[in-house]
Amino acid sequence: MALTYEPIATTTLSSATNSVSFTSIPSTYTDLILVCTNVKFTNSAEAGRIQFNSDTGTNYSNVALGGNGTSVSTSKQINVSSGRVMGAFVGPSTTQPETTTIQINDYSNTTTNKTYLSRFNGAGTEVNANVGLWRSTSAINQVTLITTAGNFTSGSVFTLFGIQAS
Amino acid sequence: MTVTYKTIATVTVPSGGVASIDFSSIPSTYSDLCLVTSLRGSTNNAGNTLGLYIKINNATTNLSWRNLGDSNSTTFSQANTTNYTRTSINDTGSTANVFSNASFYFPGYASSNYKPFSIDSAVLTNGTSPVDVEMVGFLWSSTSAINQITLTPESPLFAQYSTATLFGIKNS
Repeated sequence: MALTYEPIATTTLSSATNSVSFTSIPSTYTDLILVCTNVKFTNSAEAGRIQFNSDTGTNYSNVALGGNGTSVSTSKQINVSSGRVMGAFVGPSTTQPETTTIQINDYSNTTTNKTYLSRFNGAGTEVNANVGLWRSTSAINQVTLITTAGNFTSGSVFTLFGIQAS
Repeated sequence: MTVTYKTIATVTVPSGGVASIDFSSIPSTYSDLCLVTSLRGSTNNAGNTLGLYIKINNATTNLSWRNLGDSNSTTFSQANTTNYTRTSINDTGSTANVFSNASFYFPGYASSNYKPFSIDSAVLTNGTSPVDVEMVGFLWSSTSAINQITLTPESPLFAQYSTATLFGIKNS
């Protein structure tokens, strides 16, 4: 029986790091979902971000909508070197674990630029949604989460799932 | 072959309604949980949505949440540390046969870490109100595994045909 929602890989950090990569992603799925949980940062000025296929060029854009518990904010970034997926307005927590879910649909086609949707949930910081664009028609075979300063803490868990449409 | 996205239990509200929907004795054998709901309350809240309350392991402490949403064309963001977290569902004043949608995701629910989870919900109606779209980030600051999830409407019952399905997800 074909699995329609299949775990590809899980990384649980045994020490702090500023980069988590999923490489050699098979092209056999339709969509990808990356679930990040128990994530904390060593620096509250952090912003967890995403890159595809080791592309560090200014080929990313994104729009974020967020709430900090008092007010609602929105912002846009264009021609940047990574996509925003985690803390966008307040910055993530160094003490409370937070979750992020990132959906990357139709990731393996070689016709269109690639988009992603992310939801960040920080009960002590902010809740936000991001939509991002990677301007490349290449199939995605690598997903890397990075920090802009400091690290993801030990114990952070990242799981990549593949979804089959049929 | 291991099934990685599996139905644990589903509840469909019968005639007469119910005061709560409870998933208990949740096995700890999955990596994550996903709860999907289609809910309607049994009372008219005069053009407003009804609250949906969630309790984890019947806990009354160590809870906090922060949200972002839009209600009847007004954006909002709130934060709180209460015994319950809440989002919204349709009341009987909204368009007939319309039920709210919500998706709850509990990653690492059985781990020994604190338990952050998310809620995405929508209350719609074929009219001007009530309408509510909401995202919630919630934290249960407990190292206990989640073994019970209880949903309760603001008042007094969930209406017939409301449903809730709990899925277990394995990450290996």
